[in-house]
Amino acid sequence: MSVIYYKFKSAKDYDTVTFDGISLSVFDLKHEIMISKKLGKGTDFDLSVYNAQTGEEYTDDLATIPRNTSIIVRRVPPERPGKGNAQKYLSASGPVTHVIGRRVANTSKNVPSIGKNKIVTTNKTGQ
Amino acid sequence: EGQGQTDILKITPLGAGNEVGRSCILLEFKGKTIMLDCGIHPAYTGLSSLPFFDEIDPSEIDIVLITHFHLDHAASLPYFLEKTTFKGRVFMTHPTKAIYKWLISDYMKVSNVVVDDILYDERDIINSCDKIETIDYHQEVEVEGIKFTGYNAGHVIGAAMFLIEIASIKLLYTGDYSREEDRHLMAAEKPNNLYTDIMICESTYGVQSLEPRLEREARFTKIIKDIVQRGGRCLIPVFALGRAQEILLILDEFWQENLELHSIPIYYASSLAKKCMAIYQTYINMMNAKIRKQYKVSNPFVFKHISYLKNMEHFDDVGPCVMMASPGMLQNGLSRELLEMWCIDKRNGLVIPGYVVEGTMGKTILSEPDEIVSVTGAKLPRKLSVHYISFSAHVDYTQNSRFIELINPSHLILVHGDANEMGRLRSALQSKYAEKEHPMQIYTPKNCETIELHFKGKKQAKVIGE
Ligand SMILES: [Zn+2]
Ligand SMILES: [Zn+2]
Repeated sequence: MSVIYYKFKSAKDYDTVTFDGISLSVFDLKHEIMISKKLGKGTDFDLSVYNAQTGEEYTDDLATIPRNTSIIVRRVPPERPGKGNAQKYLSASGPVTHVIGRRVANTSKNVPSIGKNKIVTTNKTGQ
Repeated sequence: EGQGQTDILKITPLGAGNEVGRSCILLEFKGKTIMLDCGIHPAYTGLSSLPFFDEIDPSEIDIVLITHFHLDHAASLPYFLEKTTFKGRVFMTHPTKAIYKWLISDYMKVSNVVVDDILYDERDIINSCDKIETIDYHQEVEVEGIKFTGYNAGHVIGAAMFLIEIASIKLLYTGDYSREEDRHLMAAEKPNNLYTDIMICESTYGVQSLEPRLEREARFTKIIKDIVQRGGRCLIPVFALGRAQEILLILDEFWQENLELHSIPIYYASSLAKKCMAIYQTYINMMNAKIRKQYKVSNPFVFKHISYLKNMEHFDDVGPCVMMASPGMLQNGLSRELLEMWCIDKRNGLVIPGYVVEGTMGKTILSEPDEIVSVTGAKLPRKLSVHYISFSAHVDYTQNSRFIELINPSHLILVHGDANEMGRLRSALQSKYAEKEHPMQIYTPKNCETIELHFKGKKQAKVIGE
């Protein structure tokens, strides 16, 4: 089991994403964050992830992040109201054609269309 | 005095920028950082409802000032104090703190029933209370060169505006305020300083005018009477504390005057009801003269015609009644449950007594849709009548523009209003001040957009960028 550590920039503590394999795509990481941190529909914010050591942003969803990396996450206002890019990470099947990291718990099908009030409980991957 | 040297004052809304909800405004000047309010957005849940905290380093914030206990101004505080690296000081008035504790744990329990993405637990709330320092109105506090004073803002019990002074620059943050005395509160007061460089002002009602209070109350009680007399149930969704107490005063008096209504029960479904009674009694000296006088005869918050409901097991849904239940925007919980139960009968009625935020059921149902979607996703026919009468005690255009004129700041920053209302208010004010030799600079920043004001020496402000 492999691990990636992440924390919201303003938060005190790190959380972890666990997966099989040696790395995880940026898309899959964002998907896991959306689900396990229960970020809702994602329409009102953009989600950005950065390498905690270098401060470099991972802008390419297809890029891969090696295991044991520490990640800083930022939730920022969307370019246009209601058009937050975070919503695209709710779908489990990203633009990834060749999945390196395999999610252990598949959760996306449970995301309800009226997700505002009822967000389906999912276990953190691998727990 | 640093001659020729320019100091930059920065104002950044992390929430309440072109929206109502999650009020949180960052103020940076001369190496000091102040956060004004720390609320959640009622239309979202969990982390998504927080202000955009990832913009900042919480450990760099010196003080947090909370204007009042409403969730959109205070409910992120337990998260901010317990889950981030913040290590500064927090201030609010005594009643705000007393009610904050109850209101936030009630909010947490209500959201806990519906969603499992709670931001904090009971222990975090208790811990956060240990860190909150209380102030009185008019008490000047100084923290490392930052001076601030709270003034009565009307709106709800304990609500404050803050006048802040850093290095001779004066800024007034109104929070939510009302310039109208109502049944129990005083109108907001004007701080008696001579000049104000910057004013950060709410703009909830934009350029709208509210109908006069007595007309509003008469319309409100007439609608309720009509509903119950046609055999319907009247649902009034409210925040458990705050404006609910004003509505209770109105209803109790109206029932008292109308014998024919005495057989119809009024319920106030809130587990907080008993606790808040005690708080309201404690702070009667902060209310207006009318109610203080009345209190000498009998406690105006002991109602003759209103019964408290602790939970729905004590409620027999057998006929016409008036039911006040939280939450105020019908997002979830009891008021939502009752709405879903009652919406299918056209005898029933819904009266929304305050501002409702975009994205909540309270807002959606105002357009009187034929169907509404239940919490579980089912479609329900909407047959009950829908009325909106605001008792939310925000300034309307007349009150707001007059107060802005009294304060007469060089720079006016509008927050706490949706983009349209805010834009209209800005245009109205701009044309009002257009002929002045030094027209007031008016800004409507979006979330995370920084307004930079350049101050040279004392009081001379030049804006760059805009
Ligand atoms: Zn308020
Ligand atoms: Zn507010």
